[in-house]
Amino acid sequence: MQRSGVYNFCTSLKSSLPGGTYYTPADASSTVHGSMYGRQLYTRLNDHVSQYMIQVAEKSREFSGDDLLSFYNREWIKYGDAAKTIHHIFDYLNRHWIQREQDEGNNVCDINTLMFRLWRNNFFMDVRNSLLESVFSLMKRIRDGQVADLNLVKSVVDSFVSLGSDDMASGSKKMEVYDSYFLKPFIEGSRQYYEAECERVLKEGSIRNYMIWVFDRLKEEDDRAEMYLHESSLREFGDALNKVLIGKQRASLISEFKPMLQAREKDDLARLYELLKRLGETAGLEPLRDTFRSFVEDAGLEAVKKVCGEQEAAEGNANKSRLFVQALLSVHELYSSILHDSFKDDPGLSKALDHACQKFINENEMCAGKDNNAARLLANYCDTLLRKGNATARAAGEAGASSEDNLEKQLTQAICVYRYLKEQDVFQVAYGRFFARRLVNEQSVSSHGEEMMISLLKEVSGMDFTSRLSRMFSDITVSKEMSERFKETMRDKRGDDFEFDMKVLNTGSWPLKAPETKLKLPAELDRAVDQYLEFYSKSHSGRRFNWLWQYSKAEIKMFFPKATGPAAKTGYLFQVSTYQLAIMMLFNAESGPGTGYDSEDGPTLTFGQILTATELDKDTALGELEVLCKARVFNTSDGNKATDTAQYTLNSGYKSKRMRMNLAGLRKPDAKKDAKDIQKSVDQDRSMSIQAAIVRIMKARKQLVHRELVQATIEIIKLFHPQISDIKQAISKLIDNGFLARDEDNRDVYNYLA
Amino acid sequence: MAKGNDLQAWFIEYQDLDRSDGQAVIMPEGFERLCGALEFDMDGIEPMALLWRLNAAELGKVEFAGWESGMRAMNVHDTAELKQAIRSTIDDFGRNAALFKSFYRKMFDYLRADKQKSVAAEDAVAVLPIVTGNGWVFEKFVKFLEANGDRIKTVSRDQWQSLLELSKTLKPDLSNYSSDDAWPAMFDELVEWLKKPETA
Repeated sequence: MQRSGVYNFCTSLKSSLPGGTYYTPADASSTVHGSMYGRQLYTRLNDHVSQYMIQVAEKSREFSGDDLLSFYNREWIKYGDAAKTIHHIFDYLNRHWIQREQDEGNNVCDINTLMFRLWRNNFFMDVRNSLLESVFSLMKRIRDGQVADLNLVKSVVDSFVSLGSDDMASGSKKMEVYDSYFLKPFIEGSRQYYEAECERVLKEGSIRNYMIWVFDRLKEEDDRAEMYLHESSLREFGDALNKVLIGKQRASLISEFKPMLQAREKDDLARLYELLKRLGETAGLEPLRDTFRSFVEDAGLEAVKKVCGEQEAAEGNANKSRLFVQALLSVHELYSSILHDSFKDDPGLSKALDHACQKFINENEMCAGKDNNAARLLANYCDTLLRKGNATARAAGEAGASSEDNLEKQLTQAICVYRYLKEQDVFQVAYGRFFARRLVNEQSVSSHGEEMMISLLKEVSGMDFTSRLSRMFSDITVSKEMSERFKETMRDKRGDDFEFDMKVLNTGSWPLKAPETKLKLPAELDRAVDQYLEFYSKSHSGRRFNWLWQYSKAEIKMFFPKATGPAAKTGYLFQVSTYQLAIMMLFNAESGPGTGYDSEDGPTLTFGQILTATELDKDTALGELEVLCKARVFNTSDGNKATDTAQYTLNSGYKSKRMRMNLAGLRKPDAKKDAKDIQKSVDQDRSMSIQAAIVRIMKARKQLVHRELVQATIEIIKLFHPQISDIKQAISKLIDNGFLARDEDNRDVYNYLA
Repeated sequence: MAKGNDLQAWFIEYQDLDRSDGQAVIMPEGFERLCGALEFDMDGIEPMALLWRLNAAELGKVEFAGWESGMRAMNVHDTAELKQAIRSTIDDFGRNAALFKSFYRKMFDYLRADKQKSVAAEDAVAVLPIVTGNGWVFEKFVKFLEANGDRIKTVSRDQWQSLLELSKTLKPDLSNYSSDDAWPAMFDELVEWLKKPETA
């Protein structure tokens, strides 16, 4: 049909030419002739099409609304085809007369462009306002929820765009028609629409309601815009919507943030985040960050405060550290999940969370004084997880999960807190001590667990710290192997009827000190030790040993002379420290020194005799005797209490319901002393680290001003934050030891002395 | 007396004759006699200035080589001239900062015991007033050491030397002292202590 239209069009054109002659290529030879024909043809075409367009314009006035849009659309498509065909038919004209005219700078355009111009000038300019009205009415209907054909808008938009690209002037004006005659009014119209809508919704309901409404509407508009708007306008359109829907209510929206956090309304938070994000980082998200940070910080501090108030926390370090760490973790987990679920791990808010955690983990009520310290408490907590006999701590894991999985989860959580610690080196020293104790006392709940912890720590802090732990671990493994081989070798040769195990530890790797007292081993033990040493020196010669009897334990079977019942035959099983063993062996009927006070209960010994025989120091001996007397193993002449003037006899009528007793573990490590030792060790390490850092810096820089040296030192040390006074002390030490010197001419400057 | 042999002869008057190693040294006993001849108060600054001028390495011990080059440098031939030279050296301390600095620094080595790197605080307390006269910073420092004698047991070379600099620059109201500056850590403590109302 369109073809016929074009055909008719062209034939009618033909008929308007003088003489009805065709313009043929043959006539091109005559330029004057051709030029005249060219101009005539051009002008005739121009007039003819203009007429046609005016008619179309008139016709359009019969239509409005969607019908107008349809009409326009139909005409546009028809015309587009026609324009193409005509352009093709008049191809010769394009390439010759028109080209010449253009070269001469005359205002003549090619046929295609001419066609668009004619459309624009004779029809479009006339109808565009009505078009726009119709578009608005259609959009409004859609926005109000009714069904309408969006394609009509799309084709109108396309036509607007095309009309703007016929300008012979610079390319930047391509979208002029579209921008000024469509986009601007359209955006303005949308804005007005939503302004009214916002008022309505706000009046009808809460701000939360408003948010939900805005969120949905924006999504609709976004999806829809892609279907009809030109892609270059999506941004501008989006911004305008954001401004009217979100920007205007920014303050009220932001004020909802805190209540949402308090009520933990993740969905609302997610929506709020998405909406404010549309306003951009500075206007939308920045205001949230500080609120988030201080909120989480307060939550953390509050949680710790609560723990401080709890009775359980006062009862011993294990409980205190467990409750403390669990409080920290619960806060961290809660807000991490909000960060993830509602804020999509937004970097700005993530940073805010980190700052908050750093603050409340390190500076809280629990850690305010010198007694407690986040790092030490965390180390203590890890110890309760990894040490045998601590069901409470591990039971806090998930029900149903395997204990290994639980342990892994809990250790990973502990590491999460570790990352936030300000004084990681304190943790390292404390953890090292707990670790050593677990290994030496064979108290690890799972060696896989220990290894897991070491590798988790390695991820965060690297090899320096964990290699020492690994060395301790391997010392134990190697010692086990050695013991096995020893047992094999000595199987038939030993002659004694007791088992023993040696642990050989590398002095440098273990935070263990020499014992505070001497000890004379019972003869049997002495023999066994000699045998082992002989065996050991076959594979490793020239090693010096320090005996750490304070960490050794023994398991003995006690046969009390006057015992009755089942215990008489089987004996009682006691776990004792080596010191206790040495004391008790003195009372073995065959091997006691005897004083003449002996009776059927066996020998009686004075305190002094015990001291002489065992070579223990007074305090240790008294302490161990106290334990033994309390356990009713001994009777004393001093009301059965252990004193340095009493005489001691075995309690031969000993009776107890329990067949097994642990007397060794009753002298627990002193927590306060522990803390002091840890701090001392940390201070020493830090002083050395600072000195090493300074030497390294000065070696590289050779000469440095005081302030720069201090700054560089602070920057290079990652494990802890060195105090300026400590740095100055270190500088003093290094000057005294000849590593650095003050410059003679400028005492602010240090020189490196090679 | 004239030069060369005369310096030797002069030296021999005070030389320590009970040595098994044959070294030519004047020991504290002989030195004290020398000071007596010069009418120097043993508790004063003159003996120390004398030691310094005679290039002594240790307190009260003068070797001949140092004696000889020192006497020549001072252009001194007898007791009277020596007395005069030392007196004028001490006068010069007040005028010539570089001179005093060199002497002051040497004092540190005189005070420290043989194997030690630092000077005992009590020795510093005893000697500083003699050496530094009435410099107010030194006075305060001595009081500071006395007050903190249970904690602060030694004075290091850096602290000793820096003290001289401090005495030249520190204002009485302590307003120009900053712990961010390159002063030894002990001085931070000193200034804090001085700022306390009960100290003033």
